[in-house]
This record gives sequence, structure tokens and C-alpha cells, in this order.
Amino acid sequence: MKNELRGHQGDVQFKSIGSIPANAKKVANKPIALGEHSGHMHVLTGDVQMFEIDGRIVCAVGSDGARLQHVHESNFTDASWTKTDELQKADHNSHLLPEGNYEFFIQNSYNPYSKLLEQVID
Amino acid sequence: MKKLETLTPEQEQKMLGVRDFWKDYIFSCKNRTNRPAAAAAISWLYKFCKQDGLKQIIFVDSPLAVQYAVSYLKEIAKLPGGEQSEPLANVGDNVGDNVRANVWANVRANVWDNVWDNVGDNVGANVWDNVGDNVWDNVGANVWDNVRANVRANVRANVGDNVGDNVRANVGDNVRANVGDNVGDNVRDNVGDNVRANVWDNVGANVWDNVGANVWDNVGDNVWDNVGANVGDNVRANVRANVRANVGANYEPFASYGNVSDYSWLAYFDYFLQIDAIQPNDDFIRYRDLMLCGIYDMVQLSNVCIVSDMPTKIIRNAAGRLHNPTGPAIEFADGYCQYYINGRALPSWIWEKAAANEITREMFLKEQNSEIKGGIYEVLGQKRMMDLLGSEEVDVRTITHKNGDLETVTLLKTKETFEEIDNQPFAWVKMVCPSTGSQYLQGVEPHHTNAMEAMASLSMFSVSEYSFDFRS
Repeated sequence: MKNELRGHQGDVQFKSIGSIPANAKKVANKPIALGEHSGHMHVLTGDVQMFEIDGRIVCAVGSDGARLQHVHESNFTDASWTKTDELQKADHNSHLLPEGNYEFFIQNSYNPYSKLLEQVID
Repeated sequence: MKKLETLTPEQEQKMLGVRDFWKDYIFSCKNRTNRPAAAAAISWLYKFCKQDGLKQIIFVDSPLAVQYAVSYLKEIAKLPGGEQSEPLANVGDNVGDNVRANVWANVRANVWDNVWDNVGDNVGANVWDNVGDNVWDNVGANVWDNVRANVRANVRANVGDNVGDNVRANVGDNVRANVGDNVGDNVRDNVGDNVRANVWDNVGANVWDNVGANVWDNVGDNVWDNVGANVGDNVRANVRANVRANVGANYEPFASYGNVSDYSWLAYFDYFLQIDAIQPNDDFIRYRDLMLCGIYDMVQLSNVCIVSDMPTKIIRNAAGRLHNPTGPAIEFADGYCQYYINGRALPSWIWEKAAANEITREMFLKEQNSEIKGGIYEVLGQKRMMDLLGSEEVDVRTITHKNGDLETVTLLKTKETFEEIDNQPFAWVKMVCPSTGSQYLQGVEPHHTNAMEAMASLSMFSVSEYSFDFRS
């Protein structure tokens, strides 16, 4: 894709995609990644619809844009979902994503014992 | 009712909502047992299964406490009229009866009888009495009274305050008369057969009549299998196996039906109910509501049902397996917890020694169990492992990102190779977080010689794509 946008926030990476795959299922918006022992989460707020396909998360960001934020769950409320206001960051700075479709990915780490690439959630 | 052959987009969305509701019911760790509602629902369940003998429902905090409670009840049941005459003072240890039984049999056969005969033959009455007063009684007072009584008190506290009082006050004869080694099977089988048969006959047939095969499979994959894999396979099966290991031969099987592994099929039928694809079934709804009383698991005996509360903490990895490198992966309100790495239960000493900085290079190298070594690797984390084993730089690259940032990536490997990882070195890439400025490491496959390739191998991007507009 010629003008593909790519990004990296902590353990979460993303890129813009042409369209939402036809077989993607719309889901209620939820954190893209949740560090269950740190309470930190990567979350996309604002004008956004979330979909799942084969365990992957893809999002459609509307004309009002959406903000990828890294926050502690205690600083996040239900009202935060629809706003692009910057919340108190946990570790990583936020990014305002323009209208478009995006695919998200959680960075891996190789485990020499399982011999598998395993997703990292900080 | 027209047969449902396809799902609308709204129904597809609802399907994932129902799935997530049932998963969140346990994984949110926000639900506790609603005891009055659970008691009423369990009473219904017993009657539903044609079991009229339920006298007492005992609520405890964890599945281990359920097992303690069963042992406790069985000990009381063995006492001749014990519950009327201060039973708690006479009940044997309800922790580790299997150990006691084995040790008792072996010591009695091989040590006690021989020594006893030997002492009897060779020691006079004066010496016998003297040693009796000064050794037997003294040790008894110190060990028996100070240690065993305290341990017992703590075990009792673990089992739950309500157990002793309720048993003494209410169960008595009913427990003694009815609790036996096999009594649970009848109820368990009965509950299982009745619930399964009833649900399948009434709800399953209803679904089959009203839902086409495509929808059936679609919902099956997305709801039944997904919830089952996450809750049943990854949590309940693991926790049960570990409780069993703790309790040993005295393990009383948990209920076949009436625990969190029911969520998979409950979610499945619940979905069809919620989209009005099937007729409501009162028994299914009552059973579903029973499981929404915050019940983790149960042991169902004829007259007594012992119920474990839900976990207070569950931590999993991205694949949904129990996993926490920094502490227990699952905890219950009474403090009972289990430690896991990527779904593998491991001994707590790994975490304790890691926290105390007591894991040494020698200890790691000498450890024979590769699962333990894998656990140490995860619990220490990449940085401490690299510090423990030592490393050398293999390659350093600089990336110029699309937003103008420069990033240095370093590939590091241990000088030594290790048998348990196929005689390969450990390998890492080192990066710098642009937000915090801190260095961090990720494990990479040992064959890499190029830091950029190693870095890209952990992501969705190729080496040429590994350049970002946004970085933080």
C-alpha cells in the first residue's frame, strides 16, 4: 500500500489497511492489549469501530479520528471510549490516527523453551 | 418458528457479546458468590435431580477449601457420636490424610512395632516412666499442643468459619450417616445425567429444530469452543489438577455439572435464547441462573453441597493461558493461589527465590527440569537472564524511521550454548523505548545474525517495512 501508515506504541504495532475484511466481525470496543498485572492498557478512543478476524483486531476510524492511548485502567471510564481527549498516560505517548482502517498487532518475543513466538503484554 | 439459517450482522455482534459476557464473568474477578441466591438455586438443582436429602450447603473461598471441608466432614462422619461431644477436638488432621495414612502404615509396620517390642524387652518400668514424663509428655506438650493445635486452627480458618459451626449445629447425624467414600458419585452422576439429558432433550433439540447447521457451527466455534477453551481448558482443568496434587488420595472429585466449565454450553444456548431463536426452557434458565450466582466449583454429596467462591485474581497471557511471571496467576479469597507460566503450573519457589535474588547462575545451570528452567527464564525476565548468563554483542544496526527518529537495535547472544534449548545460545534484541528512554530486551530465535532481521521477526513487518510514522 503506497501511503501505508505504520506505528509502534510499546508492545503494540499497527498499520493502515485498505478496507475492513468482509468476514471480520464487529465487536464492542475494548482494549487492544491489556497488561493484566500492570493494569496498563493500549486503547483506541474516539470515532472508531472495532472488528475481530481470526483473533486479530482491525479498526475503522471515522472522520473525527481516534487516539491510541496507553493508560492505566483506573484512569479510564466508559465515557472515555468516544473521546479523543488525551488521558493521563501510563508510559507511552498517544497518537491521533486519521480516518482510515487499521490492523493492530502485539509484538512477540521468542521463548527458547516453548520454541514459539509469544505475544508480549507489558 | 422459522428455522434460523443465517445470522444478521447484529446477531453476529450479539454472539461475540454473549461470548465475552461469559468469559468476563470469571476473568473480570469481580463476581463473588451470592450465597442466598446460590443456596436457593442449589436446592432447586438437587430436587431437579431427584435428590431429596440436601441438608446443608457450605460456602468456602477456594477449591482447596472445598477439599478440606470434605475431609473435615468425613472425619466427623467417622466419629461414633462425635459431633455431640465436642467433635472438633477429636477430628484428625484434615490436611494431608493421604500422607498420614501412608506414614502411619509404614511407621507402624516398620518402626513402631519393632521399637516398641525392643523397649518393652529391655527397659525397666522406672526408666520407662521417667522417660515417659520427660520425653513423651514434654514433646507432646510442645509439639502436639503448640504446633498441631495451631496448624489445625489455621486449617480450620482456611476451610471457613462456617464449616465447623454449621457442621456441628446442623449436619451431625446426616453427615455421619450419609457421607462416605462413594456417596458423592450418586449425586454427581445423577446431577450430570439429569442436567445433561434434560438440557439436551429440551434445549438442544429446540436449537437443532430451529437453527440451521451453518449457524450451529458458527456459534459453536465462536461461543461454545471459545468460552470452553478459555474457561474450561485453561482455568478449571489446571486448577483442579493442582488441587488434586495438593490433596492427594483424599481428593473428592468435583461436580461434573455446576462449575465454570459449564459456561461454554450455557453461553451457547444462552445466545440462542437471547436472539429468540429457541423457546425459553425454565430448567435451562434456572440452571443458567444458578451458575450466575458466582459459583466456581462444587462437591455435591448426598446431604451436603460444598461450594467454592470465584477467584479474586486471574492473570493470563495473550493466548489465554494462566501466566504471571511476577506472582500467582490465580488466587482465591482465602489466599489459596497457584503459579503458572504459559499455562504450566510451576512451584512457587521460583518466584520466591527470584524476588529474593537467590537464583544463581550455578543453580540455573544445574537444574535438570527444563520446565523449571523455562519458568526461571520467564520469571527473571530477559534482562536478569542476560545478566545471569552473560552475553556478547553480535550485531548493531541503526534504523531511520519515517518520522525522522533514529533507533539503534542490538543483537546479543550468550557465549555458551545450552542443552535444553537444542544446544543453542540464548539470543535477544535490545531496543530503546522512545517514550521512557529505557532499554528493553526481547528474546529472538538463535539463528539470527542480523539485528534488523531479528527485530522484524517479532513483528508484522518485513525488514524493509520496519519504519514507523508513529513511535512511542
